[in-house]
Amino acid sequence: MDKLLLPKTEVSKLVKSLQERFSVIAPVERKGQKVVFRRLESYEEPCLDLDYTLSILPPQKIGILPCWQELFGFKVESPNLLSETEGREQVVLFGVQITDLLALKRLDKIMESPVKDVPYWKVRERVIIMGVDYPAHPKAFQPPIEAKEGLFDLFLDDVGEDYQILIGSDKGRDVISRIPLRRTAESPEKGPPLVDPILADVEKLKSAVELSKDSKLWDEMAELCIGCGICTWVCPLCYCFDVCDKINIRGEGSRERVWDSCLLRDFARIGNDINFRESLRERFYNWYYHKFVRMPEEYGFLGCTGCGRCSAYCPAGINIKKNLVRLVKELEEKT
Amino acid sequence: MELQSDYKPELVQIREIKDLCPDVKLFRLDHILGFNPGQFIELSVLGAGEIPVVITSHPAEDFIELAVRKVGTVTTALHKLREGDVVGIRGPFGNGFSLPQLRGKNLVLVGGGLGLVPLRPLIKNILLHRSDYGEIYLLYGCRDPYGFLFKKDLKEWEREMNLYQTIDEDCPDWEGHVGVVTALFKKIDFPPNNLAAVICGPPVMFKFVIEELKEICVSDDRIFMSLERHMKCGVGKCQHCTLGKYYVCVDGPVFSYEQLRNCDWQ
Repeated sequence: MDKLLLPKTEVSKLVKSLQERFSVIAPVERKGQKVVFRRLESYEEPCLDLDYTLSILPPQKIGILPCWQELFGFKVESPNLLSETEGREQVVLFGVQITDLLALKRLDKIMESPVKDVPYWKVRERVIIMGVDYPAHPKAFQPPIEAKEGLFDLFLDDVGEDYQILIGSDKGRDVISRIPLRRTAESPEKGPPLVDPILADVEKLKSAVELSKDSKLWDEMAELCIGCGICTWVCPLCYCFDVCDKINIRGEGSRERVWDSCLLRDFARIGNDINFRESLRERFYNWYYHKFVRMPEEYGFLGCTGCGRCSAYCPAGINIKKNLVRLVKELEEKT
Repeated sequence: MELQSDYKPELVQIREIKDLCPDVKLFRLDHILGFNPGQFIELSVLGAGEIPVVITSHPAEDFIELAVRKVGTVTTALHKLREGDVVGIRGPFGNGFSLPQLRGKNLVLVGGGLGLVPLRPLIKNILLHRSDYGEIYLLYGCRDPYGFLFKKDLKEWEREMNLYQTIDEDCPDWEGHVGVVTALFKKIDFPPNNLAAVICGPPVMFKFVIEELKEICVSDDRIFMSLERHMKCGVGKCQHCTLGKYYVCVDGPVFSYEQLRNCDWQ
């Protein structure tokens, strides 16, 4: 079958044509330093510079599971729930890197079973996922990925001067069908992706975290932590949430889902000031426990795809990969 | 059917409000709900928020009752409501008590303070089939004599089971037993075998009660506890109520002591 190629110089044309039909969320440069994902204005172009710096927030936390999400609206006087406004726009999430694609696939699974999260899927169903092949960030440690095609609707694979367009779904095929692309029968050259073995062995990581609960390692690692929760905000697989009511002066309100962080002090607090995870060590351990024990137990996969954000943005300089290596080493020494 | 949640509560009217004791009110809601004793609902006061509340009425009744202490934002807003006002409910959630595991046994039911709330529908269920159970001991402790809930029920239940009440510290209005609930164990001659126990109460109480239950040889798989956590979503998503591998909102709130042995559940 013919390969579809898009010269790198034509990417902005592709985005322009997408903008005619969809709202496009893409990476843009902020103050020449960091890349952030946001809704592109009609005059804007995405920043797909090769000197790609890891976006602060993963794109799914802009386009699919934003910080605040309305669950429903209501009236406070003579209380009733307001009916929903239907017909939201279709969105293209453009420029999603591979580890975020993997994280999104897992988040979909979490939000689908055992109980389907309806507000999540109301948004998710309207989003078209377009991945882009970027050079890896120095703090990233991408696991080997099988069946990449299941992770996106479309993917721009870097093959030198061009992007090869990979189609992952009918939705993706439909989006690309109206865009003029070069066809070639040749197989473009493409080296294997840079992968790191640390996340490959789910069972080993699970044991390393589960069996080390009382280890001094956790005291040492947690000692650096300041409990700010930044690692959880920037993580593509952290989805803890709180639920809050907002009301305005006219007595109309909305119930909103808002990001929460299990690293924050009050996360496991109940009335009467009882806190089930009072110490930072307990909360620090719990963060790893969720990602490397509870999630594998529940879904069979890890809560980490090695994007490296938590390490890149931790103000205390905590490096998750180094911590995992230490935990695995301790496990291997014990057994 | 596919399980799903849109987090939208159903709106129901408050039929009746009663003062149970200082700071605790009983809300009777105009709603029929199929549930298992020990299960909870998510209760909304629109504009204030949503909280998990264990149901205290019996499933066969044509209403649901909630006993709520005024402690936080939502409960304070709830306490301001009047009969006829509207609240939202979602659920029921969680597992509730497993009656087959209690049937045919001598039961030790231990309640501390508001701990009687989840025990009430369980006791009502047990009394509907009283002959299915052996001896029943209800040990109920409160800080002071004004904290006892459901006094009318207690009078009725006393005819069918051994009821022991205690208050933490001496008080002129009280002629009964004084001391923490665990002190009652020494006063009772429990049957030597075939015991099962249920504990509901403030977290601090559990450890001490379990020690007493061990003394009278109740095995770990026959000690059941209803745990309190902040079950925000009720469907195992939000992570607020996690306990090791468990979600208290889905796998609990009732756990056997055996299940929790390897968890930091206290």
